Amino acid sequence: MSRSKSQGQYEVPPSHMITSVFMEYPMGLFMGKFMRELKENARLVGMVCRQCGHTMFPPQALCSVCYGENFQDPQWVEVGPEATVAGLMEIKMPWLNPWTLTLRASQYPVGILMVDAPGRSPGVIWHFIAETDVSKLRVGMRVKAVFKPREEREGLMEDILYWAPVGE
Amino acid sequence: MANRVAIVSIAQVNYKEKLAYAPEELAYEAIKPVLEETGLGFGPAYEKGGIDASLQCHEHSRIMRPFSGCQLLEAVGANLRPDEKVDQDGALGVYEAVWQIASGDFETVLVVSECHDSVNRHAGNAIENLVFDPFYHRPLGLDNCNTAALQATRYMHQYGVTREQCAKVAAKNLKNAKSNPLALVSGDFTVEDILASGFVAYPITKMETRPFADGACAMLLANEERAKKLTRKAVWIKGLANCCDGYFIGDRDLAESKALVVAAKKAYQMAGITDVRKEMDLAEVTDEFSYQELMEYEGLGFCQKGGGGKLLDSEETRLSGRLPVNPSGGALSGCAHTNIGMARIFEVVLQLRGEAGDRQVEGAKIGLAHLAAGPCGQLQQVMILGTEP
Amino acid sequence: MKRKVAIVGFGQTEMVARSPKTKMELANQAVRRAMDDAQITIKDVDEVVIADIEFFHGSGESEMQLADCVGHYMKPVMKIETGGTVSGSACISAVHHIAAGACDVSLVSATGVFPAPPPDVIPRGAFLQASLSAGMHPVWEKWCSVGAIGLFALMANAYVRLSGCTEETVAKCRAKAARNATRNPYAHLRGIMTVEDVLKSPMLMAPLRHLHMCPITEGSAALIFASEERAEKITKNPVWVKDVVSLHGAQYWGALHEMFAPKERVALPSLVKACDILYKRNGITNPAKELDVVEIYEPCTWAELVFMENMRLCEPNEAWKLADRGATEIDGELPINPSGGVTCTNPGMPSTMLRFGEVALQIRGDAGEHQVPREVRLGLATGFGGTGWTPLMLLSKYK
Repeated sequence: MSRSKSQGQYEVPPSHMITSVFMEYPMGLFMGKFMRELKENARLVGMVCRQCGHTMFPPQALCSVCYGENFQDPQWVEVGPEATVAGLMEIKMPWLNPWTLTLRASQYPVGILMVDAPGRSPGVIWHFIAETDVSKLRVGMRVKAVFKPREEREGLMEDILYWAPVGE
Repeated sequence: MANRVAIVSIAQVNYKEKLAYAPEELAYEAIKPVLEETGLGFGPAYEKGGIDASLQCHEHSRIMRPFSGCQLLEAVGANLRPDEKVDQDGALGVYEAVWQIASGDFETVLVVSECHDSVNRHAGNAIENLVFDPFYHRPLGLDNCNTAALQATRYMHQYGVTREQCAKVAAKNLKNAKSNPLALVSGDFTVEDILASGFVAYPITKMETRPFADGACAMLLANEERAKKLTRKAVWIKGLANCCDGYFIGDRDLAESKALVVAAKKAYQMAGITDVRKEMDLAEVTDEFSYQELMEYEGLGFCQKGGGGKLLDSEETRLSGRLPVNPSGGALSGCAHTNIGMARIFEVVLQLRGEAGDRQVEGAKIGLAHLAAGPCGQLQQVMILGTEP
Repeated sequence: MKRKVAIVGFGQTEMVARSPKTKMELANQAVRRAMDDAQITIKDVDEVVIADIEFFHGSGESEMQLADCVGHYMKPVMKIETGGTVSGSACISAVHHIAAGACDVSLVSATGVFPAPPPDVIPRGAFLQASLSAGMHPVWEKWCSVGAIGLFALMANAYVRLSGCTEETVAKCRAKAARNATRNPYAHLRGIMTVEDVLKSPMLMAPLRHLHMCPITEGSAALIFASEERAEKITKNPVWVKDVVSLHGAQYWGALHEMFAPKERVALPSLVKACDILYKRNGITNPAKELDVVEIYEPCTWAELVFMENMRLCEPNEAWKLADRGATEIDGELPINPSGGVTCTNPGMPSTMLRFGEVALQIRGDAGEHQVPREVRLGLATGFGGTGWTPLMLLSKYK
């Protein structure tokens, strides 16, 4: 912005308004149960659609594939605690914790993990893999969830610290 | 209107608070009855016979979550199927669905609107403040309530409408709400009760504003051929129009409803209505704030300009009157934000199907559903519905 | 559909990284240019459809805010918000309105403006990535925030694994996009780029490099649609909307197995199915030969290759070979993204509309320096957004 009066432009000091906007997002009956199992029992639970057998992880009432309803008598299943790595990402650019808008630093790469599940499709989750040296990782390797101790768990995805490679 | 479209099935849920349910779970409570009543399902895309397309109404800026419509995808059977997302009141979703069907692209469309007012209940007025201009208006702390108060005072000053008359609207509607199982607030309140309920923004008191809710509303619309096969109680959309006013409230004369007059005229013309006062059997109008209903009487042509208060006093718009307005109890009896207009359509359809129970308007054949959205009712929509195509 | 619809006007603003204009000014500029293109005034416009995700602009109810500058003062308006496909969905909505007889002339407007904190407080790219993550599930996906970039990195990995695609080919493809963009006066990234430039660009998530991803752009675009009767009165060159198809997806990104963990070929399910439906309905059996130009919404260069295969423009795992031998150049046998595509210009909300509008320009022969040098009779434009949704518009020179 030019300070030149002859161009009729003046620099305007920036103004900021910081507003906290407090949102309470409902997790619902099914994701809610997932979070409770995670927090209380360090267990991963999903559902298998009664109509078509598709694995629903995260659990949800209505099936994405057959649109079938699973409110009545939902078929809860335990999934994991092991998974197969379907893809890896070593993040080299800065990224933000969207809750606090602070820059995140994690030495762990993120993987897309196909979690062991009954039903005709795997459950998919993205999470950290506990190995800082990416050259040691490959698609297809097996990993296992490592949970935080009970008193530190909050019912959030971070209750799982990371997924550690399982011996070949 | 050529390419006739009807509403063949409706359902609505309305709760004070339902944070235990995720949006799709809440929406499904309204969708399931529609699926059961019609016996239709979600088939492969662009194959006819079931529900051809879905349309969701979800307001993302209210929950600070872009593409918020994706929460409802499973509930509306949208995976690998056509699904439109209108980021406005459900009434605009119905408007859009009518054109989707009339265009010939789809035969049946499922319209769903869902809203958890509870999500942002701790955000104060920060959400509504965002609608206003960041440089000139936000620093004033404007929100829906205080801009409504601006409009109310202007309107009352211009036409000599009194606070008592505004409160009477609330008294009337809350009384009507007694026989509406979807209402959250209802009862026999006096004008004094309402005026004494504490100011939200002068002159508007707490009982003259919409109580917040968590709710969902679903409707199945169909073209003429399918409608006649799906139900004997099809409610036909005979006229519909919307119109948007200018943005800066200072540019508008808040005592007038220019946009409403334009929308109403267009809708009446489409429906072949020449004398709305004689021909209309009932009306559901947006009463997010009580004074709005009086302004809407004028904009819709139920009375002369400035005559809203007098019309109310004449008791013509009571449930037992000649032209009942808001037999459901209106938004004043409690409604989620995205459902305000759609709940009005819901009630009119219910009445025209003869299913309104104790608040049934006898022999209702033609009804009007109205929406006022945006700051001081910037966007106005009128829909005329009837039992005959 | 009941009535034929045509595009009669297209306008866009110069696309830049940070615009000195406000959202309202940008929207107005694009609308004016569209009306100039169609040689009509706002009086001739019956209604407006706004495509917007105003969360990114830090506002709410933007259809109200835009009333004066887009021109729906005292007119009907509707606002669509679907994700990256938003302007495409809004165009489809306008087509429905006209086909239904709701109006004769419909103006669709989309504007992308992304205010953010000063870059020394929070890096702009990271902030915008975080605001995009706000659209993900609050617990399941948002915490991880890798979102779109991560998914495309996985897709790219899978594509390399299954097809043997080389880094050089992808670099060639990106250089092509840059070359096309230099001929497009409105594009954002208009510098010439060599294959070496692309290969040297920093790695975001292997094998996805910085230059493979689309930028963040600010700008606006507007399209004007009209009914058959009005279109023929308004212009000598209406571009006819032959067909529109729109398919959506599931709630979670995780549902896109075929994109990041495929067995035989990388596929975006909604694109595959939408194209199948479109081709079948319009009697297209050999799309690569029958389509004269294609504008694909490609969030990254890798996606251009994958989507070409999904659209059956070539066999699975073969797209990179086509690109390698120059078949997708402006003067090639199958020109893809002569405008430079989304990797050169990504204003977010208008991005899909730019694909539709650019195909229209090609059909009219109005694309100036980036005009495909052949008779363009049939063109296909795609959109992309949300958790892998696809709107398609098939445009034709002839009714």
